[in-house]
Amino acid sequence: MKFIQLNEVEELLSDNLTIMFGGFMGNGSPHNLIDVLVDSKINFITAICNDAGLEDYGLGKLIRTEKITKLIASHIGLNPNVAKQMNNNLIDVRLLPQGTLIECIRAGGYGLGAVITPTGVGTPLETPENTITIDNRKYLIEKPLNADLSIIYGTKCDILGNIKYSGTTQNFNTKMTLASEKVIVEVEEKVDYIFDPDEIDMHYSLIDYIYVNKEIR
Amino acid sequence: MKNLIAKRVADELNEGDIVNLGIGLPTLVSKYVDDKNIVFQSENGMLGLETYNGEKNDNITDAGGSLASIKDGGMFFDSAFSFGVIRGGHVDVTVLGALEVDQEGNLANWIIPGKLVPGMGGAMDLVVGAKKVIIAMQHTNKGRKKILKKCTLPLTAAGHVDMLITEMCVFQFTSEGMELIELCNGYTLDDVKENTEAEFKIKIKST
Repeated sequence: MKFIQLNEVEELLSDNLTIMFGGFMGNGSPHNLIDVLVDSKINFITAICNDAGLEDYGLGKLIRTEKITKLIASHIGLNPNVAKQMNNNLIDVRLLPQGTLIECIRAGGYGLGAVITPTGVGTPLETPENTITIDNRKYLIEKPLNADLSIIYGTKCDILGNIKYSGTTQNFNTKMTLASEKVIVEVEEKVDYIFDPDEIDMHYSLIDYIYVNKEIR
Repeated sequence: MKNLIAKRVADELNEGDIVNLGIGLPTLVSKYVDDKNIVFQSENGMLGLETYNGEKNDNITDAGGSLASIKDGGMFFDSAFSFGVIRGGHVDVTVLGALEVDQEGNLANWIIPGKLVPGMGGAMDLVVGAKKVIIAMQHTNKGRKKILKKCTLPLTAAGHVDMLITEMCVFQFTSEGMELIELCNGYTLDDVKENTEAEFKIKIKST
């Protein structure tokens, strides 16, 4: 695990990356890391995120740049730019139920072969190819999701990079930590001691990079 | 009118229930549950959701992304756990709005193809997982019928609706089909029939 500055983030990026973004409607989102992507020259991002934020908040800031050409999410309705870009064929959107999306990310990180869920049976998500019946109950099969990069958030970290989450900020962040090749975490505050093992939500050995907004002494 | 519907929904909740309220009209239900010790779940990661009480904590939001608070004794968790609670059948009641409901208990509330594509969010999981699904909505959309013989819009889930509460009446869905069990607020059976395309049995409970 390495602590980095914002100006070191761009060299970790390139075109055509699949990136998982933590956060739920901007809550628990890595806002400053998103700004780096907004200002960067990279393009053709496949983004995996619960939602598209608002027009100018959270992932919405990156959506506005049209650098995301493919989006896998559960809800996009609160960002009108997504619909506009869809209509102009600038973005391909795949909608998954939120429970299926988080399970696919969890399965990707946890080394499972598939997600088998009753959610979506009887809806347009069901096809002849993706259904399975177990003990007389129908389920849909979805493949796990993995990414090149997870760009996520943490509330506090300690001097080693162990992470704690506050409030509802955990959402997709912890599962996204395991599902990507490389993990960059934006943390609000870094304390100057080591957290008690009872207190932590994510271990530093599972993280590659941390950008700290504020150091607390 | 929305508050009347919300109040009637609240009558269906039992002491200590775990309840998940969808956005829009369903959120009003929380105003009417005072003494029942309801545990409200917010799909983005908490049990014990409380409307924002003024103690600003940017780290706590509800499922619409607005500032919220957590009750004493509440719990925070991640999205995988949250949807385990939802899909795994641990939510006693979910209350959602609808674009369309049909007489088979099918629900459509996530897309109008070519016109409105907000996405399903947690709705599909909620309807499949919750022990009781209550749809709370206005009976018609500016006079246009929403309670149909068969949904025309893509479904959120098939056959999971248990109860439908509007300003006019209450329907329940059982193995016998769709039943009108209550007329509300001075509306008559004719009012309901004129504004409902779905076919239903009349089983109005006498008070």
